[in-house]
Amino acid sequence: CINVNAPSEPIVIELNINITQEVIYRLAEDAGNTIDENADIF
Amino acid sequence: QRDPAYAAARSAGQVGEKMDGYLAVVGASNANLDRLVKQINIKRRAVYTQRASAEGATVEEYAFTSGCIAISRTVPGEKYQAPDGSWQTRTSSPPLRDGRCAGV
Amino acid sequence: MPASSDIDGDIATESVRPKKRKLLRRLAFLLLGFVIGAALLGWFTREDIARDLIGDELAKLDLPASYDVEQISADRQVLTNIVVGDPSDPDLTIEKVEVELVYGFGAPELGKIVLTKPRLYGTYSDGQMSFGSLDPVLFAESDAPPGLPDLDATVIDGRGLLDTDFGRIGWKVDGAGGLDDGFAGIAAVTAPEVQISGCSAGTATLYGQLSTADGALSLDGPVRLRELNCRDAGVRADTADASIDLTVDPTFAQVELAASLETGAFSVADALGDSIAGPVKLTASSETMTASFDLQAARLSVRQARIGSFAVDGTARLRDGYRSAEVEANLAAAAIDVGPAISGLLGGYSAPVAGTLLEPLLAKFDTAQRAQLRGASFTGLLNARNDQGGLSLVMPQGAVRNDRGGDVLSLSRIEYRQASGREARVSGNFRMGGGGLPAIAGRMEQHGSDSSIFRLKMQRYAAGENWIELPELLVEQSKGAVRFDGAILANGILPGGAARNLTVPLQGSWAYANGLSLWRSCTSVSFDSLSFASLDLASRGLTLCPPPGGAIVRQDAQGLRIAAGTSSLVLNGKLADTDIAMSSGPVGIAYPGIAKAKAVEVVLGPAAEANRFAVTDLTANFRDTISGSFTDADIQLFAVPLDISETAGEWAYADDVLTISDAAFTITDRNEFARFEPLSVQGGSLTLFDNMINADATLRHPASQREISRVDIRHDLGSAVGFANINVDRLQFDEGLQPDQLTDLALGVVANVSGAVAGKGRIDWNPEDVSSFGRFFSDALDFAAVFGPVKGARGEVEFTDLLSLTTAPNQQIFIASINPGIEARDGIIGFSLNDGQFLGVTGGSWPFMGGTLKLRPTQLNLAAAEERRYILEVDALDAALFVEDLELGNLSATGIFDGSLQIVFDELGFGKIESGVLQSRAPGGTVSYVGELTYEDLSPIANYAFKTLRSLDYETMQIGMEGALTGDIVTRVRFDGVKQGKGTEQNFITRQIADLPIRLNVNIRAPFYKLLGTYQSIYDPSTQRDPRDLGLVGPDGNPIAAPQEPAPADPSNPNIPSSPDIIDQTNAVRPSEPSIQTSDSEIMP
Repeated sequence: CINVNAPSEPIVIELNINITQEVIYRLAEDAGNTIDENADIF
Repeated sequence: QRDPAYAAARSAGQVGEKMDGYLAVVGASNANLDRLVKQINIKRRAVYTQRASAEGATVEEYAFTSGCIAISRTVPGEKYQAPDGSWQTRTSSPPLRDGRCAGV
Repeated sequence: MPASSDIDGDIATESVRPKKRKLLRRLAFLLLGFVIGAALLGWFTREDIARDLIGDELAKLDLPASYDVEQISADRQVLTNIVVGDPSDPDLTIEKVEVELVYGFGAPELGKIVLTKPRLYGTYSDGQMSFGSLDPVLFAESDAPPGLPDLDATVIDGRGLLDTDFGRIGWKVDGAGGLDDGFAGIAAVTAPEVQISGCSAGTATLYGQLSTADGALSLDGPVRLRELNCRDAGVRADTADASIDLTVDPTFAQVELAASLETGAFSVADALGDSIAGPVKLTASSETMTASFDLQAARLSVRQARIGSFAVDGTARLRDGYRSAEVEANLAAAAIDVGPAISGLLGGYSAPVAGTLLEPLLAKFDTAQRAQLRGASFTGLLNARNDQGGLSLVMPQGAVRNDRGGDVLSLSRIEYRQASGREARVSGNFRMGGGGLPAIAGRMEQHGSDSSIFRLKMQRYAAGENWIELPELLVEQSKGAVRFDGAILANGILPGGAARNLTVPLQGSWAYANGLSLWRSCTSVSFDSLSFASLDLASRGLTLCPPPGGAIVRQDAQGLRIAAGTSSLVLNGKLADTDIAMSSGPVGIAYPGIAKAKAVEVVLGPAAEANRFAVTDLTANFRDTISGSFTDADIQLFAVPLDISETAGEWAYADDVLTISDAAFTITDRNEFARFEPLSVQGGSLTLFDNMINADATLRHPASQREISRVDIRHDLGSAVGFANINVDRLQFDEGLQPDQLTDLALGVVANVSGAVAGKGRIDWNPEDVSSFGRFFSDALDFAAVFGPVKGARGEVEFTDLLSLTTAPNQQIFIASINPGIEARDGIIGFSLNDGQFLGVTGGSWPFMGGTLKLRPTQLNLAAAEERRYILEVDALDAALFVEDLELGNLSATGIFDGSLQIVFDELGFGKIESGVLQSRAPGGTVSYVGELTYEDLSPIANYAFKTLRSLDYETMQIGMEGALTGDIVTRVRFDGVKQGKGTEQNFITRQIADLPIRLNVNIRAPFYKLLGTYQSIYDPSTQRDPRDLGLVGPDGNPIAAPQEPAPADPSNPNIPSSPDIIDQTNAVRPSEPSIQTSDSEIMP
């Protein structure tokens, strides 16, 4: 069997969850409507 | 129905649409222009914040998306910010926009 | 019988050429007629000729007569019942006639004739005397000189009736004697109704001794007239008696009358008198008449003037048939008392001159004239002439003297000429003075045929310091119009002021047709000083101009009208005992009517702290109070740093109170950087009384007319101390009204404000300084600020200095929600503001995920565009609540965390967590994924990570956070003392690993929202949009080639708020693919 002995140092597992999402497509329509409804400030 | 001072500033190219969805003074600024831009941005910020939380997006992304659309809607003679950060004057041809704005 | 022929001749020669008849002349002829009649009869009764002789004579004279002969003897003949003329209407009847004949050398002559009860009837109409059938005898043509026949006759009870145009006159004569010489008898004439040329007498009787002497007939005795009334001459007398002595000269050519007249109460025009008496002598002939009279009228009174006695003595001459008359008379009046009359006249003027310098002068004149003219006397010489040329009255000399004989008024060469057909002309000189009366001298000279010049001069007439002087007044009269030119000098009191050495030129004209008009051209009045109504004119003169073509003063049928204009007016003095200086452009005054002034500048109050009023149009009307309206006025109250412009309203000034009412105006901040936009006011009011200004007004936003606040101001002009109360009942902000529309201060600071603010403010000022305070609160105010929207702000802010926007320390405001990117609810912020610029945040706390979020105090400078650092301390954050609050249904976590977040807001208001650490408290907690796992094909390490995440116990957990609040926040989570939590798939490996001191760092690059979004998208496909709609995927599901785009964004571009560059993380995982998310449900470009 594999014997894994605990290293003195903690095993660092870097786990980057970079949630960037192409939301632009998702928001485009809503942003378009928002600009229409607030034409005075766009 | 834009406020006359704001409409004049836009057509005179004193202000321009930034990519991040906010307005900025182009070139020399003055107190009135500053206050005008701030006033507009405050109102945009409020709208972005309200829509972003409704759409579960960051204010920045909602703002960025709006920026894409706002730049696409500039009329010739108005100023907008190109992806390289420089101010461009809109001509009849489509504006130079950030890659992510494609299709929007 | 020659005698008869010469009698006949006598009578025949008695031919009176019908000439213009006069009263006296007629009377004489009457008597003549009677006497002749008597003589004739004597002739008839000659005895010795039979009836036929008399009948022949009668027949020859063609006299229809009948008579009875009683006795005819040589020397005496008696006839009775003689009737001449128509028996039914006899002209003459005589009861008995006795004639004695006297035989001299020749033919017998008539001796004595005695007539008993002769009755003679005649008529006299329009100039013709007629005795019916006797006329041919009486009026036969004859060339002998007229005169009385030489007969000795006796008349016993002779009577006659004369029917004349003037009424019926009855007369009765008794007497005897030679007709032409020595006749003596009594005559009585009565006329019940006499009507002579406009005069009528009730009854007129004449009773006198009739006598003749060598041909001259004379009659003297009393004449009595009752109710004498000459209507057109306006003369009435109750009784008029005259004892007359009338003699007619033998040839009847001349009548002499001497009478002494005595009338009873009489009236001439509206002068009444008790009596007129005195001798009158006149001699008249058909051509001329001369008369002399010395009449004395007693106790005359004309209206209130009374004259004790008025004597007229002089002569009158009428010539060429009475066509021209000349009278010369001395007039003398004594015991004149015209005082009351003049006082009455002066009384009329006492009201208009009340309070002016004229009042004491009028009083002095009144007392002087009463003294001087009581019992005064007047003497004067009058020459009157009336002929074809017209009427002229000349008084060469005349004088009124007081009861001590001193001259009061002397007249000389007073002439009144009324040429026939032309206007009357008056000339003459008079001099008045003495005894307190004004010394006035006047001279009038004739100029050309019909114009005369009258010069008047009055020396200074003074009563104390009030005096008036008329150096020269020229009165020119020509063609019926009177023009005068001169100047009046005056000095003395005026209502509420005084005039010093005032000189007023006097030009004007008077004409019967259009009345009086004064100052037809511009007139400049000069004075050393002129003040009225406690305002004095600063200039030394004033030029007043009449309206074009008009006159400044007009008095005619329509009444008095005054209209004057001046190009500018400068006044200063006291108004409601406040210093006032007023200068104006053109001013127009019209009475009745209103006064208008243009461009009026008013400076009210002491010069150093003057309140300025600039009014473009001011109108005022003068009734009992002065009031009017004003438009387009700008007001600057010295002490109140506000300017009032475009003011219009009504004003009134009465008993020392100036009231402005119904005023509409615009208020602007006088500060060079205006702290507020102009506000408009309607219905404002202001009163100025006793040096104190009280004003109140409702300020409104001009465009929306929404009430902003009510302000009442009180200011003491004297001490320059005052205060203003500002009441904001309910200031509603919404789309209709935003703060930046009220003040620039709010522009770029707050927007989208909605909610109501209320409160009270007070500003106090005195010469040294201005202090103000106020308290404003709102129960729910939403607004968007530079750092993001704020909702439900509630609380009260106390300002210790309202004007400079400085608050009391530590003001508390509750904020329902503030969202600088991450919403924080139900927070309380403490702050204080100085000079509207330095914001001291004294702290803020928010309940947060079971714990609290505390903001440490910090100082901000709102004016500067600077980065603002905040430190937020997290205290006892409960992970479970955190997860629940984020509605992460499929995730659960436990553990209590503390920590702090350093947040920096850049000048654009974007907030960024610079560094933030949350540390779990012992004993740690668990984090586990409770949702179903829907995707299988995870990479082994992903699978391990997922399974680890599935459930994880930790001893300590540290969350590091960095990143833009509005953008991605990188969260580094570090677990220590990690063990697999319950429900994880435990197998050999995991158990082995479980014991390993594994530190798990999970970096989540996503804001809480995104975290939220991501999970939701796992469960709720609807939150995903169909790529096809986005035009990314063709209907058949194949991707469409995206249009060529320039180079993708440069990540280091500062403007794009991409992930903070602190962590230069090379993404182990393709950025666009959510590591948790299996990618088959999404096709990425």
